[in-house]
Amino acid sequence: MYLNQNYVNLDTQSNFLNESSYNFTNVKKQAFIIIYIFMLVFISISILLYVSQILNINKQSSKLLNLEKKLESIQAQNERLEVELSSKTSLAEIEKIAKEELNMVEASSKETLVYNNQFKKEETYVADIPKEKFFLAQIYDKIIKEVITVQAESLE
Amino acid sequence: MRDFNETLKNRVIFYFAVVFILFIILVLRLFWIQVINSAEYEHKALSQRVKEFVVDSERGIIYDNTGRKLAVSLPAKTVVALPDNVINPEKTASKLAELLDISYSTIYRRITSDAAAIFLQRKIDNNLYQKIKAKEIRGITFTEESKRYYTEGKLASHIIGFTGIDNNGLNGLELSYNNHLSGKAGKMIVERDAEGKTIPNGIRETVPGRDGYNVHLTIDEVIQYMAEKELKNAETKFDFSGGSIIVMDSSNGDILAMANTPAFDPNQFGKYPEKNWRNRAINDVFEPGSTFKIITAASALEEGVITENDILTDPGHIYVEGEEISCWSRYGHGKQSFADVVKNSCNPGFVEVGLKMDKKIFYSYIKAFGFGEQTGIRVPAEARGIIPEYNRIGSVELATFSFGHGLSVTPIQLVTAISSIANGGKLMRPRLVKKVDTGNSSENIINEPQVVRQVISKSTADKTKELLKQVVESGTGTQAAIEGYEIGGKTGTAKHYNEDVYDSSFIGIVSTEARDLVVLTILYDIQGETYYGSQTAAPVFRNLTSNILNYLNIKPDTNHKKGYEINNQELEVPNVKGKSFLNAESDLRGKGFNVKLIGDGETVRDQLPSSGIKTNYNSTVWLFADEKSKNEILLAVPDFRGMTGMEAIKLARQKGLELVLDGSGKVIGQSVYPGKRIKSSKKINLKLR
Repeated sequence: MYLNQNYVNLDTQSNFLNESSYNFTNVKKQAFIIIYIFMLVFISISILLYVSQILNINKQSSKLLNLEKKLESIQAQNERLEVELSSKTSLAEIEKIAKEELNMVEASSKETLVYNNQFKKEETYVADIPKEKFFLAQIYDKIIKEVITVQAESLE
Repeated sequence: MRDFNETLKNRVIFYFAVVFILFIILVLRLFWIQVINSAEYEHKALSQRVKEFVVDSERGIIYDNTGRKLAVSLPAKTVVALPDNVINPEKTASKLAELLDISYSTIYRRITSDAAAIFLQRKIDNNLYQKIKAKEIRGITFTEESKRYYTEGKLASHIIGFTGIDNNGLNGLELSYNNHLSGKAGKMIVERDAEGKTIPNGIRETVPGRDGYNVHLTIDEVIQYMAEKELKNAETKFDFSGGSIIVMDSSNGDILAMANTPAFDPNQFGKYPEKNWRNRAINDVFEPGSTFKIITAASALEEGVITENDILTDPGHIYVEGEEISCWSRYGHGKQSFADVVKNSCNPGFVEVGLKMDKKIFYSYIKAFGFGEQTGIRVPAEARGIIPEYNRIGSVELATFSFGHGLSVTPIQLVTAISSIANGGKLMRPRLVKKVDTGNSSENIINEPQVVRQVISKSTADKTKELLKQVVESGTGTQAAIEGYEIGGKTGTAKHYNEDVYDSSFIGIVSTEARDLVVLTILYDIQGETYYGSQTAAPVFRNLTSNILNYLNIKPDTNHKKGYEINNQELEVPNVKGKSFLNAESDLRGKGFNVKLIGDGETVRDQLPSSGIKTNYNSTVWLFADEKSKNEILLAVPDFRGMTGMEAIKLARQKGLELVLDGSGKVIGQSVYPGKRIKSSKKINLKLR
């Protein structure tokens, strides 16, 4: 009995909705539902995007951490190699290799040559050619000398 | 049926009530944890995830003056045991004992201890780390620490020193510059997960530290290597306990090399005895012997008590207050100028010169040259040297000081003092560190060259240098000569008391166009037949110096002028008695004499040598304010034997002595024993035949 009464009431309500006076409210309700759904989708997408961004950031951070670690180890390796290079190129090591592997020996004596570019250049002139080499010229000079020389005692 | 329903209902209500009460309790507890006591739990949770680390600062690098790294820091692994994680301690200990420098029992004891983590071996090398890592032993892990590496091994080990396991300097510049080198540790706070991995985007805060400052030395790696090599070569030729070599640029006090033997490798300093760690060039003293004569000569020349032309006599010994002091040459060097005294390294000649100076004056010069006090080189445990107290010094001590005995100096003091002669009289503070690089050029600490004091004038310094060149050209230091280069120097040989053990040395001034280098070589505790400085230290000096000159690209000059030439001209001493000091001095100096004034007064009462005597050009004439002070002067008696009467009289007058001759011919006997010091008023009888 009690149940039947309720059904009756439902029917009455259903009838009430079918009424034209209630149409505007119905549309409004539907619009709200659409907005709700849209909002729900939007929020869901936003949440998804947010989560994915967080995940992405975490992933990148993790990558960054790994890279930092790698950099640190490479730097340490680099420093170690630099030290190794210094040790290998130390004078003691070079001498050891030179003597033991290349069979080099120390010079017992060394000669230092100094290039001196301040030497005097002796200039020779054609006119300075020794006279004695030109016999004819000497005779000629003598004759000329005899001719032009005037003796003080001479009456002439 | 109704009873049953009621019982069921009551039960449901009861259980519901119980669950409800439990739920209420749970809610209350949650409220307690989440709201009331939230801060405490938040803190606990955070402290589980957040770890705080001390980030060690990197210790500064030590460079030589060519920019080569001598000491650097690198990360190194430390082997850590986690006893709770070790599964089989016996097996673990035996595996590790094969690789580490620790015994099985020690490892076993440590890995079975109660500690959560324990260091097994700190700062192991990379190869060992790879080997242990490859074994993958449970409960054994690694942590990273900073380790000091000395890339050049033994090179300059005494200068650089070393650090301990905690990276603090323990010796050398690592100790004295520890404050600059060590820096300041930083802090890092990181959020980590249960596995100990850093949580990305977690808490990450850093309190930055400060890395240590880099230190730039004045040492030249190549010269340092050459010096160490020469000492090593000397070890094969001579029998000695150790040696030191210092190369100094006299113009600015820069130490270009400082080598010592025995040496050690600072990478493994614990494997060497402690005596190897000593920087003998700075920490130890030695009796300088004849090398100290340079100081006597420079002081006497500066004071004007002697010139290079003054005549001195050496009969092979000299008596000072009854004590006989012998020359290294048994028969003595006879009559000689002071230049020859320096050249021959004649002990009685130097004693005479030393005693001509007042005790107060000579002592003040010794102090002014920096002996008896630290040079301020800033290396730990620098010795002061041993100079006896002023009040304890008598004539005998003064006499022995003049040829470098009875006092002890450090090699660095001797080099610094001789550098002052090389550079024109300026005593420089020796410099090992040129610059401390803070990373900010405006805040860099620059160690500028420092002049401590002007000890002697430039002219005296130059004159002393010229005299020293004679020593190398034709005196006791010919073994140090290098053709084409101007080198002045002095050998030194000091005998240990009551032992046939010697300290042999050579100190040389190498003149170049740009600067004068001072090179000191010392070989300690030499035994055997070859022990003289001229036979041992001088050749070491020559080899090293010729290599240095070659390295510095300083070319030989075979046409360089002969530095010092004796003027053989003789002058007659004028009579200046009764004249004012001022007039007498200008008169004498004008005629080419050196003048030494004794006493306070205005008028010259007496003079030495007397007037009318012919003596060397530029020799010293002593002027006295009263006759008494002249009579108090003690004069060394020459060995007149073998001389003619005229020769004996001339020599005696030049020295200020008076003779009474008996007979004719050559002197065969004299009333005062040669080498005795007598007052000028006392007459000496000579017997001639």
